[in-house]
Amino acid sequence: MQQNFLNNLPPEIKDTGTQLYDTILERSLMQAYEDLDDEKKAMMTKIFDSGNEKEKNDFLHNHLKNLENIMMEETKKIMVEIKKNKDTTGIQ
Amino acid sequence: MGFEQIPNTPIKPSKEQPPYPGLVLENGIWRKPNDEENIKSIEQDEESGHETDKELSLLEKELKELDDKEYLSPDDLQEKKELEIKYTTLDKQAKETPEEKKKEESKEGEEGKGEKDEEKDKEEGGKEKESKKNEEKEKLEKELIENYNDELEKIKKMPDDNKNLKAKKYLELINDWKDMAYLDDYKGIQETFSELNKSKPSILLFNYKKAETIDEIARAMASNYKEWDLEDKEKLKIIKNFVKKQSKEKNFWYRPDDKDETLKDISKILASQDIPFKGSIDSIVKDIENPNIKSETISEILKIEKETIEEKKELLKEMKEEIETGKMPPEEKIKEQLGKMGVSENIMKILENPEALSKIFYEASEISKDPEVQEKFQELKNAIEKIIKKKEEVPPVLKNAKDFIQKGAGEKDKDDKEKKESSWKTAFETMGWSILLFLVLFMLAELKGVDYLSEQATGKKKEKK
Repeated sequence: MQQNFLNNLPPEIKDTGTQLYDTILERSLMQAYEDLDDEKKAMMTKIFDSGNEKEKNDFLHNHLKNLENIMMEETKKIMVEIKKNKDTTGIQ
Repeated sequence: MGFEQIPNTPIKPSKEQPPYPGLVLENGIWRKPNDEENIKSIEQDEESGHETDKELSLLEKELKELDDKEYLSPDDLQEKKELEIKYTTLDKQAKETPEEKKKEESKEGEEGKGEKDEEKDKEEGGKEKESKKNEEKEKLEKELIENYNDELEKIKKMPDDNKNLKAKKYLELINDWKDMAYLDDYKGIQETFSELNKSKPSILLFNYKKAETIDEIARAMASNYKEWDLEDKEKLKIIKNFVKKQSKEKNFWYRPDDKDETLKDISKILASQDIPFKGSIDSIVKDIENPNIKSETISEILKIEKETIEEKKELLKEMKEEIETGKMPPEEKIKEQLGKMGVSENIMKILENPEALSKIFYEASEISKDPEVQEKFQELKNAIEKIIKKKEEVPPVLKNAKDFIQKGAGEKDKDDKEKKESSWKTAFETMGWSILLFLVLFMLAELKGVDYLSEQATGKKKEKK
């Protein structure tokens, strides 16, 4: 889906955008996971190792419902980091 | 090219008259006559000297032999077509002779008149029922077309000061009608599309939505090909002309390669419904300009033609589902998420201005031609790579969760029927859309400068101090 939207852009922009999105999703999941207590972490491991679709869906709905907001915050943070990195590279 | 294997579709027997002469109606099913009935029939033929009937029997035999084959070669197909034409012509001639009257006369001696009348009444009753059913169907179709045209007229009459609402209504109407639009040979939908092109609204990513809609209509035309009651040549001409006409509209998201991709999808959908390549699909493939897409299309069609009927059905189903998944999320949702990520009003205005947005994306697509922008992009890429490389070790549970969110289901759950129902996939598609759009805009602002984006939004150049 998102690929369709990026298809008419040059491959370098498309690839960079996709990699950034991947990083944002990973970081957001890490943060959401860190916020879980040990019992929930074990439950998540069990469900995502062998659980069925319904269990996975239910787990995300019940315990990671804030993921969307975390992703939006992570996106903003990454923008700041990119700008900072760019400035540093510029100074060097 | 080896397009020999064309699945053979048997002719459905009619309940009013035998599909081929000589068949016997028993318990509502036409069956071959047994030997006794056959001999009797042949004797009767000889006696009455019905040369036409004899010829029809022969044709019937030849057609039956062809029908018994699992697959037909192009030569077989041609032969079948010729035989059917010959058969229909002869059959028509035979019916023009007062056959029924003669039959009645010969039967009169054997059977009672009352019995014959009863049979005749039954037959007439069946015919009447069938014709009533057809009439009702035609009436309903007519009503549907009228309703569509009424809706279109209502939208046309809406005041022009609310262009956005008008365009949204056109898009909704197209979406609701596209799978039934074959009823009026897609005339109504094409008229609506012309109105949509004239409407010039300020809707978020309007041209993208339009490109998506062109593709959806073209795919619907191909998917409903067999329902569509028109000559093959006419149908193919309408599909091709629609795609061609829409691709001529200036749209960054519907450029020549996008048009070729649509034609490729149409060809695959038709092939999966056993529409022959030669004389049908080839006329669509001919219009594909990009040689790579063209050769890909031909090779995929060859593959489809070798597939079993079940595999073809599955492919058709998948391609139909593809239309529904991956669509652009609702405008309001994207706006809300972009707003939360801090996208300014000015940038939002660009997203609502099809021409400005196309210009920006077009210029972005040309970055390799501008050495200055290329240099800036390298700087940006270096800064981004630092972040990507800094990735922490991700625990396997999170990798699985990421796969689930992005793909909807893991490999081992591939056959699970719930796969398509993963609401998380849908929710994250919307989120992914907004974030990717945001990232692209961010990169463009970094490459071309924020001032450049503001200028596109307001249409004014910023004065240099």
